[in-house]
Amino acid sequence: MFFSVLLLALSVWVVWDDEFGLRPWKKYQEEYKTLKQDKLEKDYRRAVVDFQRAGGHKKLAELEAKLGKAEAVFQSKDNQDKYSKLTKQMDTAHLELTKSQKELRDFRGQFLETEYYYTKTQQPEYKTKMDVLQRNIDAVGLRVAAQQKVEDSIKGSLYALTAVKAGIQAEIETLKNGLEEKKEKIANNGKVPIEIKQIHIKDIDKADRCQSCHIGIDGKSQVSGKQPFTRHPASFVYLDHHDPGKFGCTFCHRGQGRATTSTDKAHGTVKHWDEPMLEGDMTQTSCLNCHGDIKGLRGAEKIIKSTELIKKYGCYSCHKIPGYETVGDVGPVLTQVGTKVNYSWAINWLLDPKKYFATARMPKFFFSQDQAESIADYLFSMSGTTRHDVDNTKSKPDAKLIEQGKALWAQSRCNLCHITGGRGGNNVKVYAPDLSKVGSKVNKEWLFNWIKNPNAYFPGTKMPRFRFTDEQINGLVAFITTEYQDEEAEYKYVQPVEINAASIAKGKDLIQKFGCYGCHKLQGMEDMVQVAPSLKKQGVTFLRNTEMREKIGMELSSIGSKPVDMLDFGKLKKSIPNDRLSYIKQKLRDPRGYRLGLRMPNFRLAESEINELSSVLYGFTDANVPTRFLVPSRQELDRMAGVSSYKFTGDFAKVIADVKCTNCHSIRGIGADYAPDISLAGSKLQEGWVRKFLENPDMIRPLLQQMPKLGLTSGKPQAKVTMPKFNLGQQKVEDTNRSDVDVVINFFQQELVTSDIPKVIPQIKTITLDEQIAKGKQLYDLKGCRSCHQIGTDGGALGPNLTNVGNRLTQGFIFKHLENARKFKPDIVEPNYGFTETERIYLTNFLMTLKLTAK
Amino acid sequence: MQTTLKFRKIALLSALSVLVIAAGCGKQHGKSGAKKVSSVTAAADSAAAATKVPFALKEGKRLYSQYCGVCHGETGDGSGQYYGLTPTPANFTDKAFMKTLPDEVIFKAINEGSASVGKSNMCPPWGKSFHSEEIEFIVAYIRTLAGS
Repeated sequence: MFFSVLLLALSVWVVWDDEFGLRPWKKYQEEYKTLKQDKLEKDYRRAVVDFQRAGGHKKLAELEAKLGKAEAVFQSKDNQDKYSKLTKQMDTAHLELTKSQKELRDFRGQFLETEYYYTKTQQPEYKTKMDVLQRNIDAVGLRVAAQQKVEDSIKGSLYALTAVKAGIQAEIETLKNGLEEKKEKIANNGKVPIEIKQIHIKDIDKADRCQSCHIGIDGKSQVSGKQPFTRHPASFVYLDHHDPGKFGCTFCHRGQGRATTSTDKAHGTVKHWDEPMLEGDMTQTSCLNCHGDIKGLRGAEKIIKSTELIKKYGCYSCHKIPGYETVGDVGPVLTQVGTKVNYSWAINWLLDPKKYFATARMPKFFFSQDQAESIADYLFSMSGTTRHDVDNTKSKPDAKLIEQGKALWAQSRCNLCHITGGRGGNNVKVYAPDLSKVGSKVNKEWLFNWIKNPNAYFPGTKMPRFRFTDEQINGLVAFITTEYQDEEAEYKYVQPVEINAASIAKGKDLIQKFGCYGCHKLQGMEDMVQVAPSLKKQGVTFLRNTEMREKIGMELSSIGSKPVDMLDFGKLKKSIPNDRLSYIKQKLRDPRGYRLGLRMPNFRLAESEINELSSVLYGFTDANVPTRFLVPSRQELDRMAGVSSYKFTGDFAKVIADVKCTNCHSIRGIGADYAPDISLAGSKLQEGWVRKFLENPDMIRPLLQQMPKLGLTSGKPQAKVTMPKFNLGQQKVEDTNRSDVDVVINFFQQELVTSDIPKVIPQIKTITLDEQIAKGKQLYDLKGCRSCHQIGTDGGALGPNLTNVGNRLTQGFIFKHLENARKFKPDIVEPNYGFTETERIYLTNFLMTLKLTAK
Repeated sequence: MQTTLKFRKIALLSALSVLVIAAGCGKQHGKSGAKKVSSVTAAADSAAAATKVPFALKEGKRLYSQYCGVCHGETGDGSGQYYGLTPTPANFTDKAFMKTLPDEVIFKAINEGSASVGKSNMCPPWGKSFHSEEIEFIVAYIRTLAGS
């Protein structure tokens, strides 16, 4: 008896569990269906009300009768003859037009090609060919216009014939407002079967059943904002470019796509499933699977920001990471560091960089005092034989000299990159050192030579050469070394002390063990010519270049897909979750925590930085990515095509190596986004203005300079910043007879141009230029341009000041910019107003009148 | 006849019960998986959970900061970093004022410019620059500025 009851209970449970318990998606699909039904019915009821309000069936009958009459008129023999005749005419006219249009396209293509060769080679024969082609283009252009007119007139006649009928038809459509379709939708919704929904993608071996619960994920409209019914957020970015039918879900989101029996299993948050579903911002890590270059990629904002951390901390210095092979060193060259810094400073720095300044990027290696001294001894012995300090406060410079230096410091915008006393450093991505205490760190002689020519000490440094005179540099050195002192600085070696050879040897071992050369160039010395004979006699040797090439860390190219079993949790096996993400985060938090003997230093990252960095590392996978998914970067494309990537050449390369324009500006994809992208400067800017601006930079966008600060701090904007004065135009470029300003302008005009920006804008002949300018002014007032732009002192300070825009920009650029500002700068604040061409001509003509007259 | 049926039932049910037990075990395995948490990571994870913000609001905030905050202020109080506007930009932190504004009006003001809802022309039309869903994100974020 007992067993029969047990069996019965068991069997009921079995049937229930099989039917419902293990099929949670059924419930969701039912619920979704109800929700959708409600929504559709609501829609339908609203449509019915609208229909009744607009006249209902009575009106419909009237319209249908009218349509019948119109149809009869159209069907009359007379009209039918006319109609067929016109259709035939239309066919011939359209054929001719298409032919001419093709001819025009061909000529234009040839013209562009010839223009390209002409700009490359400057051969006159190309110029002649261009002229001939231009004449052809003009002639065919006229023909096209004429044929277009003919076609338009036939179209007009055709339209006149059918207009009445079409009008009534449209009226009926508006009246019905999709009533029947709506009704049909309701009926169809009832018929949708409750079943597992699966996407199978063969080439990545994925069978995703996520839509069995996330039933509305790719719906056209939102049925419910609740999970799992919601639509994919921002599907215009994500789904529109990644059709779920071709990509599936788990390729980007991870998780266990085949599981259908429980939410935990499907989301992969269960034991023995290595790929839990990515949540929140982590999801963007998947962009890295296919996109070779995520710069400017819409919808990847978080991961773009996070990737910057790899560059900031230079992870690629010790770890091999694909795509970062050509990024420069994070630390300065140390070969001559003994001529630069105080020994006492070097020791404190090696012991704890963040103690010296909070923004220090160098990690803590946990050296003992002894170890730090050995490393410093090795470094100092590369350029001398002693430990030595210089106390700059001992020699007081002339007060007037300091004053001059202070003025020059401000004028040169040193604080644009460097922080002093907690202020400045707006151009964050340069990672310039904090100079608040630099006066106690470096000696004056070195500082003078550094400012005079930074490339000489550190080839490839981001510090520009400002073309100062020696007297100016003396002023700056005097100002910096007196103003920026460290009150707690020690000077233990004002009396130099000889370096001990045994300590150097110990330092050599430490440098090799911790791989200092990953971040710092420590030019290997094959022989001992630079070292004092006394050390050589004691058997001191230095690392050779060949001994310093190996990356000492683990390769990171597939850390994001490494099986969890292969991760060494060591001591923490029992105290942290055994999954990949926890492993990565804990490693970043405490790099030597897993077991004894680990070498990785501690970067003392903020928890937010750990989250960001681990999301990037999680994206370095050896995922099986079919070629159809790949979006190679420009460099990869160039490499595949066997073309060398864009590089600055000729005299301009010399200027840029000096002035480092790309610290702030981006040119042809090279450089930073702190200042405007100047890739099209040749087409955009007028030569005269560029010349004046380079010689004496002025403020153009009073507030936009602060834009990178927005959203990051709540404080008032910092001091307004313009481009630093690089003292251009006063010297000739090395080995040439040309001034640097001429070289820059020549480069702009030769390389930074586009045929998208016309030299002249279309003309309007029906009204005079003065009338057009007046209309442009009206538009300027009507559209509220003054809320962002200033003319004189009237208006807002967000956009560029337009007082002198007629001298600054070319008319072609203004005309194109007004059409769609985002074409030239995708994240520009200025919205697209949807101006017509005529309106743009008016506005351009008005703006070109805005000129500051020379004083 | 009856015996065969009974026999089949028993066979079927015992097979099923084995299956069910197996499935149940599977579930328990799953639960025991990731429960061991150290104090360090627990703190970090709870912090992450506390800041779990819906996509729409995160995206809305990003867009607002870049495009709207300049005039309307980072906190939405209408001050902005960019002061001296007449008339002053709308104050989204004013609860009474926000109550009078339906979502559709905010949407329209962003989409077609402030002039379209009977205000000055100082706020430009953004409809051709943003996707309509992006404007919805911004509206959703603006709604949060007055607090609940």
